[in-house]
Amino acid sequence: MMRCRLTVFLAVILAGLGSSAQSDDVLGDITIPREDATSAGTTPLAVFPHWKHRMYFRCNVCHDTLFQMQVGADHITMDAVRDGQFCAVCHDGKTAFEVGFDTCELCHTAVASGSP
Amino acid sequence: MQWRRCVKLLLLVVLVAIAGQGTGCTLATRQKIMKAVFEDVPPPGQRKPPEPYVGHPRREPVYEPPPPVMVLVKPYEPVFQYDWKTMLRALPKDAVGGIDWVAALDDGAIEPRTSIDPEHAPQQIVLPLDIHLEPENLPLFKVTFPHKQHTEWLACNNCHPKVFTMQAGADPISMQKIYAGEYCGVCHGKVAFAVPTGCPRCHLALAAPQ
Repeated sequence: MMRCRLTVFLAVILAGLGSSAQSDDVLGDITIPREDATSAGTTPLAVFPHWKHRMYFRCNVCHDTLFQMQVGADHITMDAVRDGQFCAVCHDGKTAFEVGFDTCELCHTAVASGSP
Repeated sequence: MQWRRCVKLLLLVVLVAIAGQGTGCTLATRQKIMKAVFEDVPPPGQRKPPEPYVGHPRREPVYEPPPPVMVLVKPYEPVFQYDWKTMLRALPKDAVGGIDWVAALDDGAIEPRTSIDPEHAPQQIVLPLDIHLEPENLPLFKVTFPHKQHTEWLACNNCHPKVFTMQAGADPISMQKIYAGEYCGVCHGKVAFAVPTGCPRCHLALAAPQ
């Protein structure tokens, strides 16, 4: 009886550990650094999930024409994206979902809306 | 014989009226006669303005509130409803649980496009060339670099000549530099498989059975 309880207890703990270990962070997820320090703490930082994009596009579609292969090398701001640069080249409502007030939380998913 | 007298009187009045009409009495006389018979006869040349009739309702009207206006608020729908978790689970994995992109491409689990516009997608130029890099006196750590798996994803100018010169053995590649993010470390460890995947993936000789 005691052993059975212990097994169940261990199983529950392991299940919990397993689910917590299976986070959404995949190798290559990039949290875009914040350019405008005055907006720190307002909106969660945008996270670029590399793997979701790799499923549909080869590396050389974006690199190095749209994005340099260096985090922080490109000055990606919402103003630039609204101008149709960077992400908005595809995220225009035709190739992929449009950048707008309906879709903020699809990209701004960083858990901690920390400083840049 | 009361009614006979009445008829005589009426006959007299009629006769007087006809006589008046026949002799052509003046307008003023006619007016006087009219005023004697009828009330509220306006003076000659004037018309009595019609008084507006205001009718009063017999009972209070029942107040009926207007029907409520239904405002249809569209329920929020996320734009993309991709089941990313299931998709991530379905991708082939390497020894440490990372995504094995080479296997995913070879198995046909994914079909990444070669351009943004799917209708004008060029053919990916794949170069089947293996580069063998052997450190001096350490044949066990010989690295076989497969151009094929890399060119399936990348174009030549992604690496050449910025990251690697176009001459085998010309770059002083070391594991320290790779850990520091140079050479292979530009991608490997960041978006491509990392060091914990195991040495034999690059140092093929280490995979041989001891």
